[in-house]
Amino acid sequence: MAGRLTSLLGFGRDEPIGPLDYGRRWWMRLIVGLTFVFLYAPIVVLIAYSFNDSRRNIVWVRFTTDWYVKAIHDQSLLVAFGNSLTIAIINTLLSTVLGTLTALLLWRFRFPLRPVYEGAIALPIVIPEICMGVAMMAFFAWIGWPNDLPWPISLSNIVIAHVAFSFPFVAVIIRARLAGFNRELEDAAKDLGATEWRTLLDIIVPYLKPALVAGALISFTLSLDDFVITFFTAGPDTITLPVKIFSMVRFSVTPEVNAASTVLVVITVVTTVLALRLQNAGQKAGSSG
Amino acid sequence: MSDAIISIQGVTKRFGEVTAVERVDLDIRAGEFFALLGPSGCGKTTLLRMLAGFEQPSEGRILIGGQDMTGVQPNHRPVNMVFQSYAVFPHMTVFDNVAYGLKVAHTPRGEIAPRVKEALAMVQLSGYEARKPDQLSGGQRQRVALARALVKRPKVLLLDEPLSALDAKLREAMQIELVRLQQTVGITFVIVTHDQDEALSMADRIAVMESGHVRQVASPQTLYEFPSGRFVADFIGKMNLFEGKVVAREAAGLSVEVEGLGRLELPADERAPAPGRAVGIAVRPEKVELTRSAPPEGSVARRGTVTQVAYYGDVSYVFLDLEDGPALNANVINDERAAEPHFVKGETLWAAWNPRDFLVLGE
Repeated sequence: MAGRLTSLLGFGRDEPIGPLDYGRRWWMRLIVGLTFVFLYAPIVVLIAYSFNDSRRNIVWVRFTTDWYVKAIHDQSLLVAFGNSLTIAIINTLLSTVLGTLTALLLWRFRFPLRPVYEGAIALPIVIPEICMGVAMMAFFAWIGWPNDLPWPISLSNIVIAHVAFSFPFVAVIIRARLAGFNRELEDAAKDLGATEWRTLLDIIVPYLKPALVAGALISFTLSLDDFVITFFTAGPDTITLPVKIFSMVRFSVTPEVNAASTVLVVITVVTTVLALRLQNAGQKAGSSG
Repeated sequence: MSDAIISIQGVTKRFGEVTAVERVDLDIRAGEFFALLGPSGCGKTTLLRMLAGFEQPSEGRILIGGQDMTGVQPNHRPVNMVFQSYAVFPHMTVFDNVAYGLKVAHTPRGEIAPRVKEALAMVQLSGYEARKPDQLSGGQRQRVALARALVKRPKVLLLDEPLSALDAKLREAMQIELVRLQQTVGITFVIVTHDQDEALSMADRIAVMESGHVRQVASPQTLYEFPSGRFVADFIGKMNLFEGKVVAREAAGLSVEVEGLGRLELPADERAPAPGRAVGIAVRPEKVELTRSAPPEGSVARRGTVTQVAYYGDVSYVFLDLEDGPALNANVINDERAAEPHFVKGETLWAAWNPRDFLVLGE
C-alpha cells in the first residue's frame, strides 16, 4: 500500500520526464490539489450544512432536507426566486439577440470609428461591477425611472441593467465563432440565388447555433447570479434571489440561506457546464466545415 | 463576336491604391472551356469574382449572354461558381446542398428531387444524398460543389482553382472528368488556375495573365509553340532563353548575334526588332537534340558538358554548360528500356537544333 502510494506520487523515480508527464510528480499533484481545496472547500461546506439538522453552521448533527422544505415555504424567498428567473429569462432573450447583432455588425461591416465601437462594447466586461451598479442607479434616478410600476414591468430597470452588462459577453462568444466562418459559404449561398437575409438565416445562423446557445446560457447565469448591479437597481418590491440571500445573511447565516444558495449554485453550474460543452461541440463541428 | 457568352470590355478593378485588374478586354465563346492562367496575384481570381458579381469593376463593363451585368448582384446572375474551398454547407446533407439553389429560386417541389438526382448522377455521387459533408472525402465534396452549381443550369460555370486542394493522382483524374463533364452538359466553363498543366490539358483557350493584364489569349498549342512575349514563353513550360542582338532583318532571313552561341541564321520573322536592337532567343528543351557524334550539316550545333541529369521516368532533363558559357537544358525521352542512363554527368556532347525551333522574343 505504502509502496503504491509513493509510486503514485512519483517518489523514487530518476528517469527524465516529458513535458506532459509533470502531472505524475507529487508536488504537481499537491499544488493542483490545494488549488481545488481553496476554490471549492467553502462551497462544499455551504452545501453540506444545507443538509445539517442544526440552526448553527458549526457542528454537524445529522442529515436533513428540512431547510429546503422551509425555504420552499418562505414566501419572500420564493418571490425573490421568481423575480430572478423572470429577469434572467427576459435578459437572456434580449442580450442574445443584441449580442449577436453586435457581433455580426462588427464582423460584417467596415465603418468609421469601428475600433472605438469595438472597444466600447468590451467596456462592460472590464469595468468594475460596483461602478456599473452606482452608474446604473444614478442613471435611473437622473431620468426619473418610475418605481411604482406593476409587476413584471417593475423589473424593467433591472432587466435593462442586466442586458447592458451581459450582451457584450454574448457578442464576444459569437465573434469568436464568426472568426472561423468560411466567407466562401456566404458567397456560395448568394451565388446560388439567396438574398442577404436568406444567407443569414440559412447559412450563418445554423453555423452560429452552438455559440448562440452558449451565449444564451452564459447571459442567463450572469443575470441569475448578479448581486452588485442588481443591488443598486432593485427596489423594495423587486428583490432578486442573490439580494434576498444577502439581506438574510445580514441577520444571521441560517441553513435556510445555505439551502437557497445551494439551489443557485446548482442552476449556475449546470448551465455553465452546458454552455461550455456546447461551445466545444461547436468547435469540433466547425473545424470540419 | 456574336457568339461571345461573356464579353469583358475595358474592365479595371482597383482596391484602394492597388490595381488588381487593368483594362482587360476578353471575349469568352459559348460552349468553350476557358482558362484564366497566371501566377498568384495576377488578378485572375478578381476577374472571376467580377464575373460572379462578388466584385464590381471600377471601370468598364461585363456582358453575360448579351446583358450588361453592371450593378447586378451575384444572386441574379446566370452564372454559378465552384469555390476553392468547395464551400459545401456543413450543416446540410448532400441532397440539401444540391437542392439549396433550387429551393431559394422557388422551383416547384416536384421538380427539385429529380433534378438533384440527375445532378448527382452527373458527378457520380448517386446514393450519397443523405450523407453530411464531414462524411465525404475532399474529392467527393468537390463533386457536391459541382452538382450544386450545375443543378441551376447556369449559362456559365465558374471554377476557382477547383483542383488545388486535391492530391496529384486525384487531380489528374478530375482534370479528365471535368472535360468530360463540360462536353456532356455543353455549358461554358471558366476556370481559374495557376497550374499550367491543368490549363494546357483541359482548356480550349487560355488567357495568360500577369500583374492585372492579359498577356495572350490563345489555344494551348499556340501558347506553347508561339508565345507572344517573354512572360508567356517563360511562364508556360520550360524554356532556354538567350540574350542577343539583331544584326540583319531581311526577307530571306534574320541574323542574330547571341551571347555564348555566336551568330545564328534564323528564318525571316517580321515581328523581330530592327537591326541593332536587343532580342531574346528562346528554345524549348525538348527541341534540343543531344548526340555524341557530330550532327549533320545544316543544323545549328554547339558542344557542351553535362553538369546534371534529372531522371523523371518518361523523360530525363539534361543540364549542360555550353563551351562558350551559357547553360542549356535539354529533354531526352527515355524510349528504350535500359538500366543505365543514356547520358551521364561530365560527358561532352553535341547539342543541336533546327533554326525553325528558335523563338524570337522582342522587348
